[in-house]
Amino acid sequence: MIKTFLVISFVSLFFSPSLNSAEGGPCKDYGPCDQFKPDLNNMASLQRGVGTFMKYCYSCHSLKYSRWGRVANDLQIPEDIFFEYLVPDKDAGPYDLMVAPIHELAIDNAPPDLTLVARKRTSSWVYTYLRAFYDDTSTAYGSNNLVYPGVNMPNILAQIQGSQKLGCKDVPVLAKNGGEKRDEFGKTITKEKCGYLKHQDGSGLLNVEEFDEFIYDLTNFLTYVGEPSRAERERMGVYAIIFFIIFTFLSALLYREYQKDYH
Amino acid sequence: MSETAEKYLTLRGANSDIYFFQKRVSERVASIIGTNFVKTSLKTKVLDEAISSRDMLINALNELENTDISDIGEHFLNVFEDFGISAKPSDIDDEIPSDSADQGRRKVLIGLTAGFAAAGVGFAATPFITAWNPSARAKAIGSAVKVDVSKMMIGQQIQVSWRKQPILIIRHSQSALSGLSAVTSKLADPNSDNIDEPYKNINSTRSLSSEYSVLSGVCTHLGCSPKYYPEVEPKPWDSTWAGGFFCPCHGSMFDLVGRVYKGVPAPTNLTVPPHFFEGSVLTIGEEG
Amino acid sequence: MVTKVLNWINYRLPIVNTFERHLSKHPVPKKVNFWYLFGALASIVLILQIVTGIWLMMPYSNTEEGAFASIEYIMRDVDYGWIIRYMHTTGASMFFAIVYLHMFRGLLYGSYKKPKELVWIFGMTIYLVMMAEGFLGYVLPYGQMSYWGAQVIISLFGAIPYIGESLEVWVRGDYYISGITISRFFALHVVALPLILIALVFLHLVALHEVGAGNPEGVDIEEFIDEDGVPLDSVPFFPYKVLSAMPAIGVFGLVFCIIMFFFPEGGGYFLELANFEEANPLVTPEHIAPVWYYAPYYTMLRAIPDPLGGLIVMAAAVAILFVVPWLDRSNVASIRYKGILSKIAIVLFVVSFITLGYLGTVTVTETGKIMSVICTVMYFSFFLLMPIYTSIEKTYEVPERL
Repeated sequence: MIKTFLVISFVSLFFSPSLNSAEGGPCKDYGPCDQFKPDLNNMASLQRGVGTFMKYCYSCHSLKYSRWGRVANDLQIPEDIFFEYLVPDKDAGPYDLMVAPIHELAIDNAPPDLTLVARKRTSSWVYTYLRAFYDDTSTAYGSNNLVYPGVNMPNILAQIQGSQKLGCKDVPVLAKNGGEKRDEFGKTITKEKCGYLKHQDGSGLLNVEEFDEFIYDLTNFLTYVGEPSRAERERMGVYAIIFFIIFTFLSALLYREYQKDYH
Repeated sequence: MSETAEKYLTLRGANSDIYFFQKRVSERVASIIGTNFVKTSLKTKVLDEAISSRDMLINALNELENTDISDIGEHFLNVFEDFGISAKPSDIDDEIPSDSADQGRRKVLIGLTAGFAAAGVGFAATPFITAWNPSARAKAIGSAVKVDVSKMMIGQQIQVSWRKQPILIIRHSQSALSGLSAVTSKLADPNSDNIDEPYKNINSTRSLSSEYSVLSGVCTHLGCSPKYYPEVEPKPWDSTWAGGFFCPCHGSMFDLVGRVYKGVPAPTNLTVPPHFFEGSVLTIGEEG
Repeated sequence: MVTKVLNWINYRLPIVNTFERHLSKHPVPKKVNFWYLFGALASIVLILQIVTGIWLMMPYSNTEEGAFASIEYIMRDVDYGWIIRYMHTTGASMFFAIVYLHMFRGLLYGSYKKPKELVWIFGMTIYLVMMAEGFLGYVLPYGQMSYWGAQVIISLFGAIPYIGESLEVWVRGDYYISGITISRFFALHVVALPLILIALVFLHLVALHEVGAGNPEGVDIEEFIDEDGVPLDSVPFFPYKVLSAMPAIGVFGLVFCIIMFFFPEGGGYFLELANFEEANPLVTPEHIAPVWYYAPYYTMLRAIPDPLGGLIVMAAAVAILFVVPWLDRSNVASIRYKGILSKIAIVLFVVSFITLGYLGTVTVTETGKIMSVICTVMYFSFFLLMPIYTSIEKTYEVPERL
């Protein structure tokens, strides 16, 4: 078995086309992921994010490495409000893990735990993925995802986002040097390319910008929960760096002072 | 030139062969030959030549030590010039000796750097110390426990676990509570003055309830768990036993509400953990 | 009082003499450049790794069910556990970075030349043990990359003829990388190899102090000594060498903190993204890449189509470093006084090593495959041709003093 594995890995490594090309990148058919810049000090965003998570995601996905009280505390939500409005399990205490019995059922294709999803896949992937669902009648759930083709999950936010369909649009033809090809009048030559998301205006509760904002908050929360100490880490880092700059300066002065003895 | 100075008069390097030299001469001579260190090479790799050349400089400096400054002659200046020293007799008097200024700067820098490094080590040590605190998981296990005590029979004692330690809950009969005052004379600390009693002088049960006692089941002597003997009858350890707790390890005795007897190994009463009642539900480990 | 106690001890155990001989008064060349600071930095990182490692052992769970969760437990539930873990992970990468620079210094300035052969060999053994230590440590979190990385490495044993397959099972103690594999790797990572490492570092330093530290000129400072037997071109270790190391420690701490506090994942090179998912023996991650410090050897392994051949080439790439003292026939030590051939050779060597490292972290392409073969050949040529180009080239005259 191991030998076959080794052979397969070698063969695949040698003959598979590069996985890093645009089509085969982490965001798959979507192309390059939309860049996501987390703002872990934006408490309002994180609070909206945890609200969205508890309302739409928690019924299937656990956060089994995280604890209720830590989230309430880090997100500056008073514990009584947090437990009353956000925690479905009324017996849960602040030190209990964010997991419910339903998450622990041993079923095939159980929805994965999402504590580390933003670390494993990157925040940008999560942000792009959540906005890349489209209607696809060929699948069991009637929806599909450009970032995760064939994803085994219904488009849970369809009502909010509205309907998205795959469409085509004209894209500039790229010349060999990477620039856009132009015709003799200087106009960009385009060709039709398909597989782009087209949003049906007015079909959802939120418009496109509002929905992006909505997903931003959710992704921001998932980024936080992937590494809850990150904001503190970056704060402490500044002090550590200042310390070492001063230390280097002082010890360099001392070194130069003593260097006079033998130079 | 002293012996120690001689020891340092060694040859060092192509550019500063007379390493340490100036620092070892007297302050007077140092001030005459200028504030700079001797930075000149002896211009030879032959050790014998170098030593003789060096001795020449020593002699010159020794002579300088013993002469009047005004007497600095051509001879001295020539010797010094060879070593890159510019003797300047004019401004000796108002010149601060270079050595002390240098040493001062060094001391300040050493102090600053060392202090700064020590502070850094202190900060770096913090995570290693706090990492030994109970973790969030330990706190989860150690968080408050709830018990419904309404089902307990009168006179019954039950044991629950809080922070993996036995907590004893006793439902007293009226007669047992009224009998408590009878043993007061045999107790070491009937009013719990010697310990930090959380609910002092509220109930005779020492708890927040007039009927139930809530006690830590850890003997204050060496941590064994005392056993509950509510019967009023002679016992091997006390012929006038009025009911209470007896520790099998070293024979400490406590009354029905955990107050320690005189003359037993245990020094203080059993402690009362933080707790509160909500109807018949007792929460241990939290203040109400 | 203190002197009395010290004298009492010193009479029975010569700590004062040893301290003076090997630390405070140990003569070191007075003129060296920044390349000579990495040894001191490496010892600091070693201490850091040992201390943080001890602290990580305490909450870590070496079981199949608990290993991955215990890492998240350290990252979240233990007070400042995340700092300690990031120190350890950043420290591992920094340790290798420093040791690579330290080794390169050796190649540049001939730190292996007679009589320093043993210093070099102890150093190379340290490097070998470090590679094993790093690999074992990487398996402990039991994430996807831990599992599949270990799978590939252990499979290498399978390439050995006749005994390979049973050797694999023996190393794992199971038919897959299971709890027993983790707990034996844990024992090796935290007890066995660190003990060996410390012993080797001790030998490395004792051997070094016996023959004296080198300098970028390749000058033997022992040739010119004063009446006390102290080399003329030397300064005592304390305070001069200590003071020269301090700004270096400051700069290193700065780099370390920038990585640890702002880029602990190192863009996926220090902590690989796939390792944020618990090991799943049924699903291979899309892209298996080793941590950056093994990447050059991994590329060599991949450059040879036959597993056994790859394993031999990879082992030879490390083994050949051990014999460098006997490959270099030059009559000078430092690159400064070597001829043009040596200079070209070392540049090509650096280019090939970095290219090999880069290729090891990306997926293989057609050009990449050709490049990796070329670079592997370049890597070996540097060593195998060394006896020729070092003996035929014209060297420059070395000064007598620093």
